[in-house]
Amino acid sequence: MNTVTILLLLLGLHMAVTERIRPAIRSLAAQGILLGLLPVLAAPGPAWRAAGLGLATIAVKSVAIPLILTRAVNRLEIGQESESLLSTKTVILLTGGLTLAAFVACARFGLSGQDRLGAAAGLTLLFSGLLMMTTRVKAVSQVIGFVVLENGIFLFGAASGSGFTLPIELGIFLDLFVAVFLMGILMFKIQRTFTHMDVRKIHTLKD
Amino acid sequence: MPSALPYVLAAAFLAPGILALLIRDPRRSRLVGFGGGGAAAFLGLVVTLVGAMREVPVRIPLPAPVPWAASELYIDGLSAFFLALVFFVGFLVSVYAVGYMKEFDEHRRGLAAPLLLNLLLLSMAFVVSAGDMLSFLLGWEAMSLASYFLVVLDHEKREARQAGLIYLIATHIGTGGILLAFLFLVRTTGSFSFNGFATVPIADPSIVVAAFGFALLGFGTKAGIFPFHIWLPYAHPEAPSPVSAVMSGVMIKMGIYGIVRFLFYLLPAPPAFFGSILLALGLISGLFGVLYAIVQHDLKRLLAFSSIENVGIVLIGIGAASLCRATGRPDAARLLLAGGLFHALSHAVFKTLLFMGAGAVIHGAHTRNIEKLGGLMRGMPLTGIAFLAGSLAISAVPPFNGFASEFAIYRGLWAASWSAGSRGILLAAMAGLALIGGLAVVCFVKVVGTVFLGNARSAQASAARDPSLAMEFPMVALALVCLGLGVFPSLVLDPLMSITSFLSPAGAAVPAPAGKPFTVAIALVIAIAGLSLLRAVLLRRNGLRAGGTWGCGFPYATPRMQYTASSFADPILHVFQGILRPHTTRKERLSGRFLLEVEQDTHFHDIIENGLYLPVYRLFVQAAFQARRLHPGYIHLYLGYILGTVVLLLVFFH
Repeated sequence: MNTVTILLLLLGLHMAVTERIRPAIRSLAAQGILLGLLPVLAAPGPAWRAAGLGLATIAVKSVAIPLILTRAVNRLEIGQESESLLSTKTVILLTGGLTLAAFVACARFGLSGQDRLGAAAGLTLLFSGLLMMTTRVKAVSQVIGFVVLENGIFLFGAASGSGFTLPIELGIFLDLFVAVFLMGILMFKIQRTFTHMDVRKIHTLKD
Repeated sequence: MPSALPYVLAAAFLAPGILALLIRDPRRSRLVGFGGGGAAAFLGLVVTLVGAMREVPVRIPLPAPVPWAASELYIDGLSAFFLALVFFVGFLVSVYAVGYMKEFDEHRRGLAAPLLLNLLLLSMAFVVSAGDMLSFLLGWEAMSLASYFLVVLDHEKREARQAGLIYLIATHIGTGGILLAFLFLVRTTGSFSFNGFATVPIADPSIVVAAFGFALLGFGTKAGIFPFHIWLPYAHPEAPSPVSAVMSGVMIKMGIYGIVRFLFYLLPAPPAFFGSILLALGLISGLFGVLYAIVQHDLKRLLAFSSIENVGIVLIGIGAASLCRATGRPDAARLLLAGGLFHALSHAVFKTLLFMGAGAVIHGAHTRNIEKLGGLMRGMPLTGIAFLAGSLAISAVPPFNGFASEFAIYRGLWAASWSAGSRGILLAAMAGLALIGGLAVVCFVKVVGTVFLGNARSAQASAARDPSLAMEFPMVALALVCLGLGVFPSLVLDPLMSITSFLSPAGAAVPAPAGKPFTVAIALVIAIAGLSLLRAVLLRRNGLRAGGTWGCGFPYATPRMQYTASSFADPILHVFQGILRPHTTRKERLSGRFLLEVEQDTHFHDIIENGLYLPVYRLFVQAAFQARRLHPGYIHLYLGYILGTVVLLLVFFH
C-alpha cells in the first residue's frame, strides 16, 4: 500500500517538473494503473466490487484518457515541449513547497500511519495538478494537470477513510472521461481557430 | 369585512391597467386605465372609511408565500388612516392623470403608465395593511419598482434615466436597511408577524438599537429624511406630474408609516434617545429642505425640497411623541403623534395639489423654470387660485390645514415642555419649527409672486391657459379640502386621537387645539370675506383707474425688469450663505468702456451630496477600477487564483 502511494507521488512529481509531453502522458497512464490497484489492496468491501472499481479506473485513466491525449498530440503536431511559464528550477522549488504544504495540512486531519501518507500524497497530487494547469502554456498539458488533480482527489478519498462507494466513483469517472473528451474536442477547435495551442493568447478574446 | 375584499380591490386596480395596454386609441386607453384606477381607489376609500368606523382591527389571512411563515393583512387604526390617505390621493391623481397624460400620447410613450400607477397605488395599500414582514417587504418592493418605472417613463431624456438610477440605488439601500431591521426582530422573537414582534419582549437593548438604526436608514431613505434625501430632488422633478404628486404626496409617507409602525408598535419600550434623534433629524430636514427649496429655479425641484422640509416637520411631531412617551408624558405624546400624522395628511393634500398645479403650469407653459414664467394668474386663474390655496396651506397660514396640523404639534410641544427633563430640546424644536414655518412663507411667496403674479417673462408663459376639466377638478377639490380641514380639523384629529390612545392607557390626553369648528379659522374666514366685501364696495363707489407703471426713468418697462425669483431668495441667501454656499460665475462682455452684456449664474450644490455621497461614490469607482486589474483575461492567472485559494484553505482553515 505505501509502496503504491509513494510510486504515485513520484510519478506525480515527475509530471510536474518534466517539460516533455509524451513522457508525461506515459506517467499519467502508469498512475492510472496504480490507482486501479488501490481499491483491490485497500478496500474493505467485497472483492467483486473492488475489482470492478479497479478495472474501471484502469480502463478510464490508463487507457482511454492517455489514448485521447496521445491522439491529440499526434494530430495537432504540437512538438515535444509543453512550454512552461516558469523555469524548471522554479517549478521544482514550487512543487517542493506545495508538497510541504500538503504534508502540513494533513497533519491536522488526525489521520495516522499509511492513511496519513496517502492523504498527504493525494493533496500533493492535487496541488501539483493545479500547478501544472497554472504554469503550462499548451492546452494538452493543462488537461494532464486536470487529470492529475483528479487522481489526487481519488487518492485522498481512498486514504481519508471514507472508502470507495461504487456509484459515486463511477460517476466521477464518467465526469472525468467526458471532461477530457470535451477538452480534446476543444483543443482541435482552438488549434483550428487560432492556429496555435498557446493558452496565453486566449486573453485577446476578453472585451 | 369579507376576506374576498382584498382580491376584489386588487382586480379593480389591475384589470383597467392591463386593459389599457390593449386599447389602441391613446385617449380611450387613458380613460380606461386611469379612470378605472380612480374608481378602484374611490371604492377603496369608501370601504376603508366605512370599515374603519365599524370594526378595527381587521385580520384577513393570505395564502402564505413561503411554507414556514403565515401571511396576513392586519388593518388597525394606523393602517386604516394611511389606507384612506393612499386611496384619497390615488383617486384624485388618477382623475388628474386622465387629462395630464395626454402629453405622453405621442408614440404611445405612456402606454404602461396606467398599469404602473395602479400597481403603485395597490402596492402602497398592501404595504400599510400588511401584518407580517414578508407581505410588507413584498409590497414595499412592488411599490419601489412601480415608482421607478414611472420615474423613467420619459426615458428618452438623459436626466430622467439618471434620476431613475439614483432613485433605484437609494430605494434598494433602503430596502436592505428595512430587511436587516426586520431580521433582527425575527431572530430575537422567532416570529415573522408584526403581532409576534410586539408580544415577545427583547431583553438585549443593543438589538433594539441596531434594529432601530437600520429601520431609520431604510424608512428614512424612502421618506426623504436628511441626510438620506438625495434621490428626492432628482426623481420628483423628472417624473410626470401625477407621479410626482403620488410620490411626494403618498409614497414618501410610507417611510413615515414605517417609522411610526416600528417605533410605536413593534419595538417594546424604545429608549428616550430614539425620540431625540428623530427630533433632531426632523429639525435638520426641515431647515435644510426649506433653505434649499428657497434657492431653486426649477418649480418641481423646489416642491421636492419642500417635501423634505415637511417630512422634517412630521418627524418633529413623531420624535417628540416618542420622547414624551419615554419620559413619562404619554398625554402629550398622544397629541404629538396625532399632530405628526395629521401633518402627514395635510402635506399629502397640499403637496399633491401643488404638484398638480405645477403640472398644469408645465402643461400650459412647457417650462419648469420659474424665471421664465410669470403672470399666469391671468391666463390660468383657476389653477392660480388653487395653487395659492395650496401655498397658503403649506406655509401654515390659517385657516388652512397646514396651520391646523402644525398648531397641533406646537400645542403638544408646549404642553410637554412644562415637564422637567427634556425641556431644552422641546423648546428648541418649537423655535426650529417657527423658523421653518417662516422660511416656508418666504419660499412660497417667491413661487406665487414670480410664477402667477407680475408679467409673463416669456411668450410661452403668456400663452398658458387653464387645463381641461379632468385636471381642474382634482385641484379645486384638494384646495377645498385644504380649507375644510383647516376650519374643521377635528374631522381628522379626533380619529387620530383615538388611534393614538394606546399611548396613554389611563386615557389622559392634552386636548387637541380645536373647538368643533376651529373658531380662529372661522373668524379669519369672516374677516377676509368682510375685507374683500369692503374692497368691492369701495371700488364700486370710487371706480377703478388703470395707468402705466412707473418706469424708473426708463422709456418703457419690460418683463425682465421685474423682481425675479433670485431677487426674492437673495436676502435669505445672504443670511444663510454659510449653509447654502452659492457658486457664482460672472461673464462680462465689454466694448471699449461700455458694458454690453453681463451673464451671471448662481448654482447651489447639496452639501450632503457633494460632501458625503460623491466622495463615497468616487471611492467605489476607484476600487472597481482597481478590481478590474484582477481579471485581465489570462487563464493562467485565474488557475493560479484557484491554486492559491485551495492551498490557503487547506493549510490555514481546517
